[in-house]
Amino acid sequence: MRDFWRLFSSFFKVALRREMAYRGTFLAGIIGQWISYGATFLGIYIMVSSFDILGGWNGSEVLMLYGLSVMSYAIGASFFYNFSNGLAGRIRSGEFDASLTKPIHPFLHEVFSAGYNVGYISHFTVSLVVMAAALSSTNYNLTVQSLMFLILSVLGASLIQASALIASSVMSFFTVGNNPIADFLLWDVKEFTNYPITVFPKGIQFVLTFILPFAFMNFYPAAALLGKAIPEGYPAILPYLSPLVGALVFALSILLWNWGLKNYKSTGS
Amino acid sequence: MSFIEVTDLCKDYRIAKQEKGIAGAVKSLFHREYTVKEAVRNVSFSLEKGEVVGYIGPNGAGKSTTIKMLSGVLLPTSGVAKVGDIIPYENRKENAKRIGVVFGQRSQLYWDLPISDTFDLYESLYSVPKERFRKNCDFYTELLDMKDFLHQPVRQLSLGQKMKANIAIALLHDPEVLYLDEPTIGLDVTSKKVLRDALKSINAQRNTTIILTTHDMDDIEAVCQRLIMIDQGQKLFDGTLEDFRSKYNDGFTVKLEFDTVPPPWQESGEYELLEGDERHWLIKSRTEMTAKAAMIDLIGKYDPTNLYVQEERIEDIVRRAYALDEVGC
Repeated sequence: MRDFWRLFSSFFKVALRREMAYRGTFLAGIIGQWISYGATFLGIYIMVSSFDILGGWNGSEVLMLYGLSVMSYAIGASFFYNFSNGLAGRIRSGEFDASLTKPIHPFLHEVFSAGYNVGYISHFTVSLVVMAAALSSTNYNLTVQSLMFLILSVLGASLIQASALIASSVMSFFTVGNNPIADFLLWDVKEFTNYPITVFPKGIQFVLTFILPFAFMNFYPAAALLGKAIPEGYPAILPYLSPLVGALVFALSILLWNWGLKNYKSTGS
Repeated sequence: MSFIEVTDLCKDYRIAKQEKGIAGAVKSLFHREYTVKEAVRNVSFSLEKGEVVGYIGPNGAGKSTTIKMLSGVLLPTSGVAKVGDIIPYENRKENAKRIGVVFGQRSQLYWDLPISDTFDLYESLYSVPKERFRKNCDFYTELLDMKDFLHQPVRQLSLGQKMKANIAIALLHDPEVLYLDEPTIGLDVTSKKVLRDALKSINAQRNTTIILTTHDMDDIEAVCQRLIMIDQGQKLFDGTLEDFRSKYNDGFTVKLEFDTVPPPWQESGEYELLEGDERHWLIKSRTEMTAKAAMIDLIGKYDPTNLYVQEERIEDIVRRAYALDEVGC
């Protein structure tokens, strides 16, 4: 564990130095993201405020879902986006082989050397503003306990987002091109989570809870916080399980990655 | 028991046949057809500690695949490789501490940062003691003549400078074995010389075992005591450079150029006319004659405007060696 932190800090230092080497790009990136995420946020707000009530959630409450989703993505992606997005290219060019000649696990080496993506600070700030606005417009009384719960849930949600990024990179071990089916499962399915899952048919609720548990990323924590109903017949404890579910899927995604790696080492494809 | 033991090593690649379009992509998810390529076939050799071996063969011969199995990147289909009592692909991390690898032009440096930053990173990656690490940094900076560009961002460096840096970072943790995949490809003559000299002194001073793959016969001549040649995955030759020369290299070719119509070609036992037209002749010596003697002789006989002596390219030697093997010589 001490070794892990020593390595993490050495790589982190290098990652920050790399980010700062291009300050112009960095700033332009942040401003661009603000505009793009701000626009999406406005779009959703206009839509839900004209519906007024969506499955028992008002406009501000639906925005809370969006805020949680963006914040957890900002945290998960700042550590895993470069890694996930770059793996296919590194395998194709042969650079990935170098990770297998290092005395640490290739997953760690890949994540560390891919660098920390500072640009996601823009997502993080957008989501912070959205959540603060959403909570204040519902006159939510934030206590120390509920804040602690929110923070733990966001960490769990970030692990879910990270797992999705890790899992989508596993395809690179098998195919050379990008895989539209993995992209659909991991990105398009996530679109459902912009709305409370109780508005969807039962099948979708089940998938988002038990198969691809994206509902734990925002719906369940928000339901717990705002005191909303969860799908009928589901265990009442579910809204509190985001940290646990996050840790579980994160572990599973690493197992999946190792399985992909094993295939790579025997086929070299 | 030798330091590196490779026994009947084989590696097959399954190559999926790609079908076009979305329908093909969906179909390939469920059913795929493969062709099997035998990249390495029953290769065996053993190396003592401190040996410098050139691993040669044409493109696609299986050189890199062998290096990847020795460095623990790929699992063999069958056979065993042992490096200092460790099976590299089973005990990858342990093996990684004891080897240094440079994969051709695939740089391990950070594009936007100076080399010195990558150096620091490798210190913590390999847990090298500080004292030792500093000493090695200074040693390799000096040896590879890197002082001038140590603090420049890597993107501003030349190919040769990057290769030097890659070799340096592969050596900072004092590996027992150094694998180099095409270290001199694309470099200019001066950089090649610096690299070759550096490899020689690394081997002499640290007793580092070195395996290098190359296309350049001069690399072998400059640094290797021994040479292993493979083609189509199979070992064709294993021995000293002199043995290789006497077995496969029968002489050199001489190219003559004429401004005017040349005198008639005189058939003899010493030369063979490979190609000839009005202005150019390509001649091969059949005997043990030195290049100098042949040049003097040919100039005297035919008085050409220009004369070039060409050593056989490694591809040609390999091709002929393979043909010899086929007929069982």
